[in-house]
Amino acid sequence: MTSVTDHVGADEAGQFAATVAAIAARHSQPDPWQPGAAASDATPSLEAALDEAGWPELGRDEALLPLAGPAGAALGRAFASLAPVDGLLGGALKVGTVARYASAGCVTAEPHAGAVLAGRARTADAAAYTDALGVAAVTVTDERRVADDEARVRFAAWAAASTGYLAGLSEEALRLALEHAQSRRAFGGPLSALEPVQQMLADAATLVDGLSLLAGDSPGLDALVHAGEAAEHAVGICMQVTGALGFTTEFPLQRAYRRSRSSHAWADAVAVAWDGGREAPS
Amino acid sequence: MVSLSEITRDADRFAAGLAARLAGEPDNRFQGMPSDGDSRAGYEAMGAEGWIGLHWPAELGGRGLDSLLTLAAEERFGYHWLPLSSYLLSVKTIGNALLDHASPELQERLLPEIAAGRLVFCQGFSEPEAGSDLAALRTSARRDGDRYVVSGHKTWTSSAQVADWIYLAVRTDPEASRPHRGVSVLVAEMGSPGIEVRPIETVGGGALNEVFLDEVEVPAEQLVGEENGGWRVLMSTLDHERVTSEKVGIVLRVLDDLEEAGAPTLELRRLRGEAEAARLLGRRAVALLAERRPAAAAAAMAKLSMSTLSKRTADAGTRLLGPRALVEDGPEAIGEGRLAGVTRSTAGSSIAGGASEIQRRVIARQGLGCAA
Repeated sequence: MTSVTDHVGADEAGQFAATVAAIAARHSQPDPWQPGAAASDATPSLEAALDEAGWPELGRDEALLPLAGPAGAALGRAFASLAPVDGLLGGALKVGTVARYASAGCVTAEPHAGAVLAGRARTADAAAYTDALGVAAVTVTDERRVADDEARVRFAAWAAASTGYLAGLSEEALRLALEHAQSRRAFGGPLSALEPVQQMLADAATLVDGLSLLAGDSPGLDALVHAGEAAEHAVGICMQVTGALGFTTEFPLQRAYRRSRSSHAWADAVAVAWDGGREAPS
Repeated sequence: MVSLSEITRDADRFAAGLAARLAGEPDNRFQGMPSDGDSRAGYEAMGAEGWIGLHWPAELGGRGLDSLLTLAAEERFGYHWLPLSSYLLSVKTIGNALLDHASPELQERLLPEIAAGRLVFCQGFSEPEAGSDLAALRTSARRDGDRYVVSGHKTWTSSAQVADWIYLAVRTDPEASRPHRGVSVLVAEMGSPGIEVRPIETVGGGALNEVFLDEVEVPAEQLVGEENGGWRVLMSTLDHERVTSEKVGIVLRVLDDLEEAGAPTLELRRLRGEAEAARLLGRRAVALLAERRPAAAAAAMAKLSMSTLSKRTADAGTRLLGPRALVEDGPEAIGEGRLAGVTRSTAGSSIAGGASEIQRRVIARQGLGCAA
């Protein structure tokens, strides 16, 4: 038989993803977010452990691109911080006037017109935000264009890891919703036996499986733009299936709900910026 | 061995050339969805130039390649807007099912002729009172010595007006304890006495057909699989049908047309990303089918993702480009009318081969383990 998919690094990708999953499991943090909070889920101990495992290499060596999606998925499944993913860009991800995981003095990285502009945050005013992404309004100094080769590798790794993260996040959201649908009883049986619930879960599962397959296929910016919308849609279905329970802050699904929404917004904005636009997408 | 990139390149070249040769054929001028169009000349050329049965064994007229290569070639056929209905029925769906379920004698009789581009199949599944509920089918096949005598009424039958053979779902045991236990699959020549075809025109720009069967005699050796064991054969046939990779190519072509017409890059990226996901879902289903592993949920996901994407692409065209999106011909048409054609035809893509609601049911019950 002819091999048709590029299996270079497939085993390696699985092994590295397993390492990342184990690290994430050891460092999972309580969700610091509450409505109206300017919160960050950045977890320094997680980032240190990932650094030690070689995570930053993903943003430096383009041969490692096949590892980025599955590794991102491992973080997403754990509802872990996105800070390690943004770290692949070389600084706090900035679009327009806001940046994620940003603080005064930090290095920023702004995609623009096929390049990455590096800078330093002169000021960073933390913003109350829908998600614990450490979002701040920033002013930037010392802006410079990152060398094209470096920017290309960093951006590709970031896009692949971001897509993978959304795949993992959606997988876990679906797992939670399915578990709920199979255990919660209504109308004399499990929710999952009800046809309208099955129809919704099937839509979510199709989106989630598509994202999971993309994560393993060195996804690029097209995949990420799809992933933002698809994850939001899939997680939205999971919220509906989970009913009022999913709407509470004590049930973990709301983390995926908020993160898929924020990720959709950021993915679209990054794509518009990368394509050369300064406008926020309508 | 042939690589994926080589087969993709060769298929692209072949399909572009064939599309140019077929451009003058009037029958498909306003066929909105090329996968619903028919061209005998096109089908013959595909067979003659070795593009039918890439993954079939060489002794049955194929080339013995990986079925994922077939999938990649089919995507290019779609991209170049080849009229594909005969191919999709005879090769992708029925040919592959015959390879799984037909007797060696039947395979040797039919598959090389299909591979050569000389034999077109249509598929007689739906009936006036059996569509999504296929197990309700009533067309009867009564065993009479060394033959079956078939009577009934099939409908929505694509390509029956051009087909040489029909792949029939029939009821062989009307007394079976459950409806699907009394079903069998037969193949019959369309020239058999007692078969009548009546076309039904569609909004897509082509025709479906009614097929009337009146005491049609079918030799018993033309049974596919076991008598009364046809349900398994039908479900497996549908698995093949539901991997609609040619539509990935069709959508990618329309997206190229939208790009040329100035549609915003962000929306094109979104739909192209979605097309990548649909392609991978198709690949996964085909890999499972090649390994003869359960593929129903995977195939249903491939189909559901693709019909969703077709509609979203058509919707995006109208939303982004306005009234011009529906111009079907002439200088104002987007992509020589491809966008308008797909927009007009896409309603069929979530019905043919099993309605989307049926796909979702298969996914939930067979993929997610939800109770029936």
